[in-house]
Amino acid sequence: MQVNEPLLAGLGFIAAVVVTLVDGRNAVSYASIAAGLGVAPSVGEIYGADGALLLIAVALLAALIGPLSRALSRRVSWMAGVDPVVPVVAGREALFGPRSIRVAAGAAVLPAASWVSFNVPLGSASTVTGVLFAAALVWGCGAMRLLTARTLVDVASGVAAVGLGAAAAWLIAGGVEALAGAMAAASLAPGVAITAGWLGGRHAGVGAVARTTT
Amino acid sequence: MSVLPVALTWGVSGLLAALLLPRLRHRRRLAALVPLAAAVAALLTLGGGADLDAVAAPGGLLLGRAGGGLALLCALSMTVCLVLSPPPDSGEILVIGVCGALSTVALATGSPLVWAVCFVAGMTLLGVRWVAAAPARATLAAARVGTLGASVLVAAGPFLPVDAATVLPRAHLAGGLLAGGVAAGFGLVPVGGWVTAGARLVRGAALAPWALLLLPALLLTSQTLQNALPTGGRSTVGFILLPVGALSSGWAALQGMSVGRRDRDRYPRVLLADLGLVAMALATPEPGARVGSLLLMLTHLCVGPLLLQEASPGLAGPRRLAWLALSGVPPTPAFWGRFATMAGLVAGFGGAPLIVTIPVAGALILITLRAAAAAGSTADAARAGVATRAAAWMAPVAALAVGLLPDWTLRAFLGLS
Repeated sequence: MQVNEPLLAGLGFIAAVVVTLVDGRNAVSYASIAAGLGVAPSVGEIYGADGALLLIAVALLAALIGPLSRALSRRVSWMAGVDPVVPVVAGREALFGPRSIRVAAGAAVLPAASWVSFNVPLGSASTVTGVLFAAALVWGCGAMRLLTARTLVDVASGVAAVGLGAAAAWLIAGGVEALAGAMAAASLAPGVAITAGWLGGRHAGVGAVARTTT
Repeated sequence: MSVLPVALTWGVSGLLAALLLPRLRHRRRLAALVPLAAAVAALLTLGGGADLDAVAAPGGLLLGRAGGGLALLCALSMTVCLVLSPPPDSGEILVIGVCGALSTVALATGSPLVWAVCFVAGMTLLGVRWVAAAPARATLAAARVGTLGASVLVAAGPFLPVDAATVLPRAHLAGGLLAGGVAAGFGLVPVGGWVTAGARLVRGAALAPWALLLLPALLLTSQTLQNALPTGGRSTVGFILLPVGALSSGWAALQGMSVGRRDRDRYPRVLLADLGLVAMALATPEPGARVGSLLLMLTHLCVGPLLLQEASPGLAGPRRLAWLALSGVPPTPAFWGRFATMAGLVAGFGGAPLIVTIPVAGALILITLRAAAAAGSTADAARAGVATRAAAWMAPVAALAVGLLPDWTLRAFLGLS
């Protein structure tokens, strides 16, 4: 069957936009869902339906388990600490805000992801199809999110995207025990969702920026 | 050696200790039992031959006796560190348990993706913990750069069925990603500011998961992986790590010279200078360089648990001896490590690396001797507990034993002849 390359790339692009822009207490959930749904079609096309299903299932698990962890930790006990949605360091007033910086960084990832997907052979995938584009773009935007992180939720969202992007690339490469390796990488998403949710429930309501010193 | 018993012991005992020890307010020093249990598990499963898991799995990263021995040494080192540290809180214990489990899996896995995922998870947890413990620009940088560096290793994973990576762009890309990830994990220039800045804010048990668990695992596994890369990828790794390592060791040595009386800044600088040398050694497949980096790693595993702590009264003697073990004066272990590394570098690249390595080694002698003198001049009236004193003496004595019997140590613990 002919691979619909623009459609796969378009889905990856939309996922990358969500990963780059999403903010707030449920950011990890949204980023995980977007990343999972964005890379799953490419994986389904090259590896097979079981790989795509694995990614979607893990993304949904991450989306559900984050709020669950938050609700659970709220019941345990509140204690002073860093709320993961509050910036760790106070930013100065600037012409461009954190989202703009993320978008600019994400835009720089586009040509890199395109080059990798068309020039670097990966597993059985042909260099012509460019099926790696979605995975490379999602991974790259997750990495940029890490690089520009101001909050712990930024770090967690970046790690979730990196994990799902790497899992997709691993499945596309199609080595032995591909599913097990992909599951390990994708499990980063629920892992960070639990962590961010737990911290969010435990420390929610700490309104002030934590500290501005080095 | 199967990795499961050791990893499970780390994880389960860490979780149990995190849940139970906060209730036992006066018994939080029992946290040292977490790595001790893992050490016992590693000792019981330590056997000859290669790791079954690693042999069965595809790809590079075939680790055997060396991985098991390192898991044992890391657990012992962490035990000593926790005995010497102020009682850790539940978050710190949990991070130590999880990082211990992840580093053990990283040492044993045969899959480059799982290997890299272990470091991502470990660095993420460590970064989150540092930010939670001391929210500041430096700890946020640690969370960003450390995690990003490990993520770069994850990106290298899919390109790393190394036998197939013979097409040039792929080999170069894989090599470049690996080198970038290793540079960030080692805290090398220009992405290493997070270590020195973070070390000013967190010490002891908070810094130890990186220095005593994740870092040794990254070093040992990178050596194996680097040797398994095709020529193109290996040259890219060398092209990046040789200058970056030289710059880092030179810069860290310079900074160490200018530390003055601030003792807490000294050890991270010495560690980073040695890591720069180790990174240079990773640029060449020469066996001498490999042995040298392993000896340096063993030295820091021995003295790190003591020198990662704040200088405390009552422990001046062991600290002085630990600094002397790090000095690089024969027959200290640091001397053998640096000497073998330099010999390997000369064999691989000729005399050029000596332009950096000899001044760095000289500077490290000066820094450590000044530190030893400073440790001796502190008031030592207070008495530490028996267990604390025993653990504190154990660290430098173990280091000196490595220096006196380097061959035996490498053979006994890492299975290297």
